[in-house]
Amino acid sequence: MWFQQSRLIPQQNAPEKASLKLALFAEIDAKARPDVIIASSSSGIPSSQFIGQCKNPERILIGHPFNPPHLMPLVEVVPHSGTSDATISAALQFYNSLGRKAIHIQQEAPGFVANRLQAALLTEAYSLVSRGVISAEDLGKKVTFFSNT
Amino acid sequence: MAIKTIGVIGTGVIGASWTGLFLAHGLRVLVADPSPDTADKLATYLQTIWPALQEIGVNDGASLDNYEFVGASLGEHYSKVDFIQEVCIIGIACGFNKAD
Repeated sequence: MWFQQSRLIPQQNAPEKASLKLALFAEIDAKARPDVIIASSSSGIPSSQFIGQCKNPERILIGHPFNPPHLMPLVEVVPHSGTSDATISAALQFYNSLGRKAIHIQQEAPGFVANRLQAALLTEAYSLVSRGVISAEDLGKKVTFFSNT
Repeated sequence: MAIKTIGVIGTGVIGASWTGLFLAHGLRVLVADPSPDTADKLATYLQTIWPALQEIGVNDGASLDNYEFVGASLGEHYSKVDFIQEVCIIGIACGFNKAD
């Protein structure tokens, strides 16, 4: 589950993966034209962790889709503190022009917003089933036939 | 600046899906990934999802063929792209995540 996996990331995976992204983004930033927005699809590593070797970090942000992006309309646009307002506006406009519903996440909170809300729902769902308040089957019906998430 | 050509870096399922979305909106897409067999997998995935994209509605001039797999890196093609979508997502196989 996402929220279980996310507990492991800070301990084991993030530094290693962030270092790989650091090198990748250094290359992309060095070679892409300066007017080009560079959007990472990362759901776990905020862009502030991999822009350290970039000369133009103001054009870098997260454009986090949901699987699969050609069908799921939501895109979380997550800038780091040095991303320019022009980059944020252009990224939102670009994704919306593709029929997406892009939302601006104003701070780099772990999990951004959608996965945090999903994790809260999952935590409560497991609690309700484990306490015997509802069966897993009936909880599944609730989510299928009446859900605001 | 009009965004007409997209660079997709890393093309597992998410990157391939982004590529399909960009193609459906009439954009040109240049795709890079160092993993072996990626080009074939990408072509197969795009063929699979294109009917659904057509059902949703594609732009005039949109074409499933308007992309090019350029190899392990965008390399000499960097100058051609107007927007870059990087897609080496944590926990998902990607040739750039060599520790995976």
